[in-house]
Amino acid sequence: MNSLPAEKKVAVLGNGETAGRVCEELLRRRFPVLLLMPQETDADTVPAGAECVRGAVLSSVKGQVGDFSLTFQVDDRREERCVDFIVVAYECIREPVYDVLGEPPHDRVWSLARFEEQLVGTRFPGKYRKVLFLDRLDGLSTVAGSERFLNLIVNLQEEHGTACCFFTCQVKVASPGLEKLYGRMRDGGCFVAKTDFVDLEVGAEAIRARFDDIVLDDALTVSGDLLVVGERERPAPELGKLAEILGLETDQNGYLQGDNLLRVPCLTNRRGVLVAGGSAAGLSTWEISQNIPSVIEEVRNLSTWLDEVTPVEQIFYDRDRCATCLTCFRVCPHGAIHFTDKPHFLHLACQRCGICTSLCPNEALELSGFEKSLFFERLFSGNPVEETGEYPRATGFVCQRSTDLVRQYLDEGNRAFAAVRWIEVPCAGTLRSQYILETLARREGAERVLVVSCHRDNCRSGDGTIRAANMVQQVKGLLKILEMDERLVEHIPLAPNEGERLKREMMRFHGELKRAGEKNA
Amino acid sequence: MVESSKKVLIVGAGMAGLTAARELGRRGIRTLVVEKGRSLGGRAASYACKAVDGRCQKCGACLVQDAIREVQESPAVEISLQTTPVALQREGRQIIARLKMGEQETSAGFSAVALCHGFEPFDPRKKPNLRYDQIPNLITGVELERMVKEKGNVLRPSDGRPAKDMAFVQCVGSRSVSLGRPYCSQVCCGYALRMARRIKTRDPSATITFFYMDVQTFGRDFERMFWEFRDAFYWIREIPGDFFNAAGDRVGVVVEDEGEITELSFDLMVLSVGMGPSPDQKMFQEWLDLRQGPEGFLVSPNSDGVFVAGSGSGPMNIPDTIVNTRAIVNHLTDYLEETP
Repeated sequence: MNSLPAEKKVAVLGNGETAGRVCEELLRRRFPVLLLMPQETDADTVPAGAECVRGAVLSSVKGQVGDFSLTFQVDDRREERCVDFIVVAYECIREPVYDVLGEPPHDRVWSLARFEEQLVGTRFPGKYRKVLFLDRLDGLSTVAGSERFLNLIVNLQEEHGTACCFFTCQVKVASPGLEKLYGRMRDGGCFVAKTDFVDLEVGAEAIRARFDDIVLDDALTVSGDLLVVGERERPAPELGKLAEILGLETDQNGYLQGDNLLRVPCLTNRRGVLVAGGSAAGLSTWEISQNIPSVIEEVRNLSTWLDEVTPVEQIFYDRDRCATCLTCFRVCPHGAIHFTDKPHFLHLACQRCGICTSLCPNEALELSGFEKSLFFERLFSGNPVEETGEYPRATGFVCQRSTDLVRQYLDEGNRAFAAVRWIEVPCAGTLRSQYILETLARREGAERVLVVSCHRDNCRSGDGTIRAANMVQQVKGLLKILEMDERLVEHIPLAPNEGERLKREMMRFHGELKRAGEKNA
Repeated sequence: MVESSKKVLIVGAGMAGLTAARELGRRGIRTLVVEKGRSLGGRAASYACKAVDGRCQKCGACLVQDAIREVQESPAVEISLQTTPVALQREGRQIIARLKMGEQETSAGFSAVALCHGFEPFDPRKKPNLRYDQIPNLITGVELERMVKEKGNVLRPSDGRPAKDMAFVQCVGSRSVSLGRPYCSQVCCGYALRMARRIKTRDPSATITFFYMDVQTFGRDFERMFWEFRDAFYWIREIPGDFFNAAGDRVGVVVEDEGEITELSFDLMVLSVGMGPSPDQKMFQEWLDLRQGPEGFLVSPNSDGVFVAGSGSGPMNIPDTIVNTRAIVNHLTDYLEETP
């Protein structure tokens, strides 16, 4: 009988509710948890059973999935722990949007958070009989913000009989129950002013708002006792430093997840490092309710995977060729290379994109199964290219995510596909310009080369697509210098559901190929 | 770890069903996926890639192909196409399913069932003022998706000519109490705007107009994209009341502009139809005594072996369907581990 797999330990980073909930959910499933709280907090926020280190500031992370070694600072003490997985669960921060006022906040101007706090504590001063609510007027408000406004207004109207007016540009209701809540708010008497401009006058006694109502197409004025402004969700300031320490890509807003479709929902570029809640984006209540169980699901997946995987050597390293230039270390999208006096390849972290092998200036690296000596032998089975010889042939390098499409058309006997020698590559980023040039040279100019990659922001290895596109441009540049036809090499970015488009592209390509053949004949 | 004797029935092989099978398969839990259609992928398989200039717009349509590939390769997943459940019943700790495949009926017991039956797009015939059947160049967003996927460009159904001047009508069958659909469908702003951007990028001479109520935020890059959308398209904050077939088979609408009633017409108009509950959910409700949420979709009980994942439980786009299904699978795994 097999012994039970070892327990997998998870480090959870964060101070807030998300971190607490992730810990609880993990503990319920018997995953030991190390909770690193960057700040001192009340004891009751720590879930029972978690090993909690308060005031822990992460300083470095080494290793890979199943064996991360975390170093952190507590006061002036330095500590180290080993875990299998890391979940970053910082909350996002919320900044009040005071911009519209053009002056520092006034007594009668509150942020949404302050108002919520007063209301929960039932310290809501009854003297405010009429409250104005101001969401962002640029159309960029979010569901996360909108649901807070709607809940507050409904509560005020129904529990306190307060008169409410809600200024907004685009009402965000794209979440379960929000449209109904919006209806309830309006039925309760809230005046919804859809506008993109409000002129506010904050006086000692009252606030006056003049605005152009988009729906009524009229200039109106309302007044109130209090103005509540919305908030903007922003990533916690610590995330920038964490991204650096953990080697994570960030999105355009600074959250710890690249704007990449294949990271959905909680993945990062590093296997075993996950993001939860406000570390991934400014999420709504519904999104958070889905996000946390989804993170737990991924921990379970990884845990099973770790039990079953056999670490094998993914990258072959030739010490004699290595100039210790650190290129591989810098370009690896998955944090799978550790460097001392030479690179060390972390085989469980490696996702086999081959980018390090294609960018190594000294050709010291090879991806197992894609060694250069075998590269041109990687023809698809059933690819009939060797038998059809009537016109110049082409070589197509195709990313393995799209090989099913190519195979399907080959199986159907499509001639445009059959005229191409298809070679599967793990990621288009694996290709070196040298492979393309060599392919062209072998067929004395008659051969053409196609590179089929994924679309940008839809590549498992992040920038594999960008590297492939750049490489094709480089080759085109060289061809131009040599006064050769740039069209000899072509890049087709493709999604795996674009079979029909690939077919159209191949018909065109096949036509061009035939015409080129006739010209040469 | 879950014992291998446990097996889960997954109803539907759309994005949710495939995700559930994939997740459970990764854990080594055996599943039987039954799909009433002839192929895998469900509705998502007919949606177009909306990438622009080689850059993904994150609509998620391609993810269904990734899921199909993984599910087909998974030894834990068994797939049965053109198969429908004709009865589902709780019996002790088991779900007994009667399954019909062609003329053949079989019966089997499962440890749990995941209902991944999906949604039904709003049928524009239910709004007579749209005159959907009488106006040839008035199509739905679903039809546009299929056209772009198969043909690569946007053609008028009446004469097959490219549509140069087109309009999208948002919130068709969404946000309407009178239609019994008091919810935002959540996906339509995203799919229509991404599609419009794709069309406009490939043919900068095309003009695109949006009839809308409120633009919903979607995607990480919304802040940047929103300004581009505003400049690239014409925006009319109104849902037109009357639709008619105008000269040259253009689609005419009546709108109110600054107090005046005006007529506008377009080469092609696209109805951004919302998501509604699938008609199949009635049977599941009866068989398994399930509850409907306030928006009319099924609520996942997450107990007694019954789970609902994906758009059968509410409107959601493809990435959200993956997130939701994974969350449901997490509950399902708990259930399997807690059950002897």
